[in-house]
Amino acid sequence: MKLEKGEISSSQLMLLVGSFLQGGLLSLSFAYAISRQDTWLAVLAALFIGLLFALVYIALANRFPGKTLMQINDLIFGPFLGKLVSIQYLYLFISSLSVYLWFIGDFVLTYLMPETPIILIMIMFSLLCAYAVRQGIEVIARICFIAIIVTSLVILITFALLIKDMKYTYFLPIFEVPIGELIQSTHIIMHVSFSEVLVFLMVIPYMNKPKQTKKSVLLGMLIGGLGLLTATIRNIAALGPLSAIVTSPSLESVRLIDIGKVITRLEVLVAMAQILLLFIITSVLYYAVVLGIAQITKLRSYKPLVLPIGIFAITLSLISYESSMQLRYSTRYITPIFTVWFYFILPLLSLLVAKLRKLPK
Amino acid sequence: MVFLLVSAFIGVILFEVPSLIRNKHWRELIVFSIFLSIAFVMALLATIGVKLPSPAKGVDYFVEDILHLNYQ
Amino acid sequence: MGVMLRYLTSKLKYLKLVNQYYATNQKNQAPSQDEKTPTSLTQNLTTNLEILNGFIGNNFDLVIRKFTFGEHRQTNAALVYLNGMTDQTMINESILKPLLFESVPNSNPASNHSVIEMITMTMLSVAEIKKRTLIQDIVEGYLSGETILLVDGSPEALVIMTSDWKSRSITDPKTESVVRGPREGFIENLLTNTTLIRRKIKSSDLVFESMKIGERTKTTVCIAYIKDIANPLLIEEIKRRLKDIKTDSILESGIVEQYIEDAPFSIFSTIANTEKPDLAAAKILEGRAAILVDGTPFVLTVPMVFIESFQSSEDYYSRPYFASIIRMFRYLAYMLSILAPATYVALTTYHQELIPTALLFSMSAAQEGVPFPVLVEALGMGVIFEILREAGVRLPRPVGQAVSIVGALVIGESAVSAGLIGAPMVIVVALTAIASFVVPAQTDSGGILRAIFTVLAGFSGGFGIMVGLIGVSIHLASLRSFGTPYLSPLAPLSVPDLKDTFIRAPLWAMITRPRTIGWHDPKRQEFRLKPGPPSEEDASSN
Repeated sequence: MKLEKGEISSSQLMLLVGSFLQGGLLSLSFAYAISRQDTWLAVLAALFIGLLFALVYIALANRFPGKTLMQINDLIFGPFLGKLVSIQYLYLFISSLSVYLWFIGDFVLTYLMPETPIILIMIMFSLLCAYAVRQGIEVIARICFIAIIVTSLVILITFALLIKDMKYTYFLPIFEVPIGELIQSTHIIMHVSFSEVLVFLMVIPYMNKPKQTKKSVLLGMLIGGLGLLTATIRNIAALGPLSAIVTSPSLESVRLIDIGKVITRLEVLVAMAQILLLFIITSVLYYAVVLGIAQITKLRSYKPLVLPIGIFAITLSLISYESSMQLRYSTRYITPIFTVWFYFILPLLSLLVAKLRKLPK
Repeated sequence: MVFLLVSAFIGVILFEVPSLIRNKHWRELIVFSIFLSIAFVMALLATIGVKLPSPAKGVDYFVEDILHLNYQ
Repeated sequence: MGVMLRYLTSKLKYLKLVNQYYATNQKNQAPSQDEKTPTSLTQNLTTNLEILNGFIGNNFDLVIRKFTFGEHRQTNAALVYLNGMTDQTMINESILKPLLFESVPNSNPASNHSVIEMITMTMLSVAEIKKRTLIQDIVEGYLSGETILLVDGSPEALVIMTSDWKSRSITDPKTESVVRGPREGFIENLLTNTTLIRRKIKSSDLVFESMKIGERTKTTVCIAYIKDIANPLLIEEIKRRLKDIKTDSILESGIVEQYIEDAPFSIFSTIANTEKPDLAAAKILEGRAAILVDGTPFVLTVPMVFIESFQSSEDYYSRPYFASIIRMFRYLAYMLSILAPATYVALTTYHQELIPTALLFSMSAAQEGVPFPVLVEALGMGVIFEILREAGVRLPRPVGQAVSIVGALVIGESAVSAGLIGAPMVIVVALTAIASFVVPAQTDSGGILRAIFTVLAGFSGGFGIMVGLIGVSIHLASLRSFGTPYLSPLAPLSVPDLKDTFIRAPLWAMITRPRTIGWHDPKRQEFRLKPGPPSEEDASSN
């Protein structure tokens, strides 16, 4: 049962996944403090493990073509338990949404406009995402094409311009970081960026060529992951041990670009690209939440729900986090473990149960 | 501040409700009202200054102190 | 509280009554066929003349010429025509002369040809003649400049095409001037316009379908398309929308545009218009349809995509390299005209650290004694510029020169030296103004966008501009024009069509028509048309 008439093509899905992952550009800054100069190894590891997880998700999606995550849960676990599972996924999406809202507010507040109340930034951004979600997933997919071109260009250009400032000795010694920290770092990166691919199980039914799902999603993850990797390498090579200390290595490394005193202050570009990517991530999460609630309550259209859920998400994010330090702490130490249940255990369980019950009949 | 909040909510209602009533989407109207009231109550409490419990902190406490499953 | 409630309930009751009134009125709106007014002609000439007088009498340009013809001058007849819309020579030479001076061969009542039939077949030397009996058709013909010939004893009248009136000659279009290319422009006469297009496309597949719209103006509207290339569903949709227009007057194609467009609430127009036949012909050849409206030189083309506003016909007549550069300049100018005031406001109010230091000193020095915040300056200058522009369009020509000097010198120069506006602000606004004319199709939407961005920048800086940009992109991405997504070929990405968006690929490379518009007949030309000197084999084989 499709709640919306829009359709996205396989290439749009690929770009959507790619831009989703590249949006972790700045959220990655949490991981630098843990695994200092080996962060790029963590990114690489997270990419591989993420690809494996994505295979699980895609297997689940391909077993039930045309059905979103909520509907799959209903089918696998039966109506009552299935709704419970769906509510758990919804909790994950809503809390991710509020985290991202807080993150955007904090980002804009710190780097762009220190004197604006954070709620205004959140309201403006949420209104924008609400507009996009109301127009449907097709519109969001059309914009992500522009977004990914812009961000890829920004990453490549900043990489090229920073080459003269890069010191490859900053990478050494490799593997100095203890393996525990490396695993933790991988885990952080995974649950911030790569596991969000779970969200795409809500979007995949709208693709007009279901056979190409696997290829699109995996290719998209590769594109996004490569972008992240390039950015991480750039940051470590340019900043060295500084990358572990500063709050946002991406911005700081771009601040170093100074070609002939003319090409300076390029962090505006990075900031703009980041806002664009964050917009796409927030919109897709928002869309997943609204669609999920609409499907659990069996509505005909998700459009009326958009605004109330937006207000709810803003309020939730305002009361959940009081400072970015707290967010940092949670993301580094606590949330990785907590979310394992949602993005690892639950989907695997669903797949196993589906295989055991030999669904779909 | 409360006035702004109330006017924002009235704006949302005026925006969505007429088309729902015209198309007779009663179920959507019910769910919409439920969520809107939840959001309204939360926003009102937050604006007045009542300190609502933070779910994120609750999760943190749960995982850290009870389960001792966190890193470090 | 109680008063408000009572007011609301009475208002609702009023609305309900109004709705009921209109509902019942619709049912009573039978076609206004009064039983008293006749609908067709009788056999008697005098009665017919009386009936026609009832419809079109009391006009000074009505001419009724009674005469008799036939061998023994026995048959009465009358000519009714509208002075000023008819060709007098044709009436005198081709209608009156043969009837008066030549005899009707064998007006035998036993023969099965009526008098009218014989006149048509043997006597009148006019090209287009129609037989009509309904008063409605006769009056319509009369009002279009056709001559009515009424003969005593015949219930049919002859409607003879003699229309001729003064119209403008074909000159170069005032709103679209080119450096290279044909300088013909459409004029107000529909038949001349269709001829201009037919001269460009001499193909039997070019079809012109017409219909009359407008209750009182009965304007002829014509849809032009090429049978094998245009999407039949598109033509169906256009016809359906045109038929649904039920209004009094259709005076210009803009009125038609506003009744059939896809997104009436969007600031971007989804229907393009042009004054040049070669542009209209090019669009028809790509698979679009053109809508010609009688009485205006502006021809509509559907469907329209956003990048069309950045393409001009000159791009295709010049060589690709410079044309591509100019096209990229157009995009740059458009971005400049929308974002320049907003960026200036954002930079000076919120993000002073982004301005290079040397520039920062001079800008702050210029901003020293200015009393208003930058946002107010920017909006004020924008308003003044729009006033100047509108005044420039409406000026009588002798006064034009003086006023433009007044505008430029007095307002700009003196305002700066009086300390009302900072000098960088004037530069920014002047640049914006000039840049906004580079893309003529988007001037009106550009102005609104500029104002929105300036306000957004004024109260939330760079973030507001980003939010505005994303918001506009969302809006553009969700628009459709007669089924074609507004942002193709960017949004539903179609790589072959990108050859014509940001650059203009050489003509020999543009093998296919735009995919979303002309997919019925995709191939436009053959492959391997790249020109070059003859190769070795050709030379040696000769």
